Amino acid sequence: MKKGWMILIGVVLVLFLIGRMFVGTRNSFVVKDEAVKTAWSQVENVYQRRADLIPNLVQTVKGVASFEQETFTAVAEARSKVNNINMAGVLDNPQKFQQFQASQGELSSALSRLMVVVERYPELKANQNFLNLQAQLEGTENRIAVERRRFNETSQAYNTAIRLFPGSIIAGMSGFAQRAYFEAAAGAEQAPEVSF
Amino acid sequence: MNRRYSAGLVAGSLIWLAAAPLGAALTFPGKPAARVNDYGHLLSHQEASHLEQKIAAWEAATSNQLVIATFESLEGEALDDISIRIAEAWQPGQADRNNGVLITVFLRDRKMRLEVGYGLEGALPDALVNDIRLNLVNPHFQRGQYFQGLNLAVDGIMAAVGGEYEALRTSKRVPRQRRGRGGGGGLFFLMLMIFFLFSRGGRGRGGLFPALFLMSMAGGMGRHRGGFGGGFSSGGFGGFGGGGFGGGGSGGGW
Repeated sequence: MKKGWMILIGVVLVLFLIGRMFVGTRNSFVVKDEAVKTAWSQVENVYQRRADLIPNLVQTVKGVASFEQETFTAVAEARSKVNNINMAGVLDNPQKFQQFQASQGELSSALSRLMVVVERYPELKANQNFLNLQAQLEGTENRIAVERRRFNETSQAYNTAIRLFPGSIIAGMSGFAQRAYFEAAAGAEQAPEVSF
Repeated sequence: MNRRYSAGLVAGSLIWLAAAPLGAALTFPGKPAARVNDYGHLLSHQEASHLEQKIAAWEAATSNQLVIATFESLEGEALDDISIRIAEAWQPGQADRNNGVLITVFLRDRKMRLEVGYGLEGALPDALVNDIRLNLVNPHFQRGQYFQGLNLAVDGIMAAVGGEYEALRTSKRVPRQRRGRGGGGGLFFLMLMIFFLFSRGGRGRGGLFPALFLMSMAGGMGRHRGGFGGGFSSGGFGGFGGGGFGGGGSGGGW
């Protein structure tokens, strides 16, 4: 009888400790996942900032370089593609995440082509409005790089946590899925070539 | 399970490796004890202390924290990347106001960047910071006048935060140099010398001497390279407060 009680108390104690560990680990996943979501909202912000900058920029360039219709069309198309992405669920859906990254990459290359084309127009280099917009675009691209890196870092911290044993069991039971990363696009570092 | 776990780990570390620039290695010290950190030896002792005191007074009045860090070289790092990483490590600015500014200078690469904290992005938008860099700093840096350039950068930032940038800009604007790297300064002094020789020498009043004097002064203004190694402390510096940065600002070559 006495031995039975001891075993029961022991079992209850072990279960209690396991439960506490379970809750604690699960909560730490929630905290890390929230960090990923915060980092993601920052990524969305800076990309939105870039999209908002484009109409002004294109308008200014158009005033001087009206012959570059092709380049303008490419930028406009890439931008409308980006604007048409339904942002809800992009973070949770790896496929949508890929699409998001791909369309933003297209916009990046369309924009850098535009900025190469404007090199042909010295008038623009003397246009204060254009220079300001150019500085803003550079600043925004830099912010995008910063927020992407931070997102990758938080995403990596979260992914590592949910994959490490024994947390991986708890993560599997409570449905914590891996988060995606941004990858450096192939050739993104190279400036586009423009023939003169 | 185990296999998936290790595959995931490998994938994770591959991504990490891909994110880290290969072969690039600039080590910068941890949070410094000074606002002016001249690791690149661009400034004389007095110049550094002048900047330090000016920045300290501004900090006392506004709580904004400005930090300068000069380096000899980027050592293969990307300007934007290393600047934001230094900002993240040092965290100038108050934690609740994010009001820090970091100026990085890389001498041999002829590149510099002004990194603006979140809280000052309104007062120091990218276009304005770009203007400070191109119109106030670069003309001096191109002539090797690092103190003058940095001093004007500091003045420009302070004026902009105080809402008086336009006035400063018009008064301090230096015509931009159209010549190539560094050669312009020498040519300018050659012309100055010829001018002195012709205009004064003819009248028999010591022509060459003032010209030489001017030249030596101008040469001395540029930079002092000495044993002065980095940090410069001005007593009551309480360290950086934990300000956040998001990549705002402007950077580029001179």
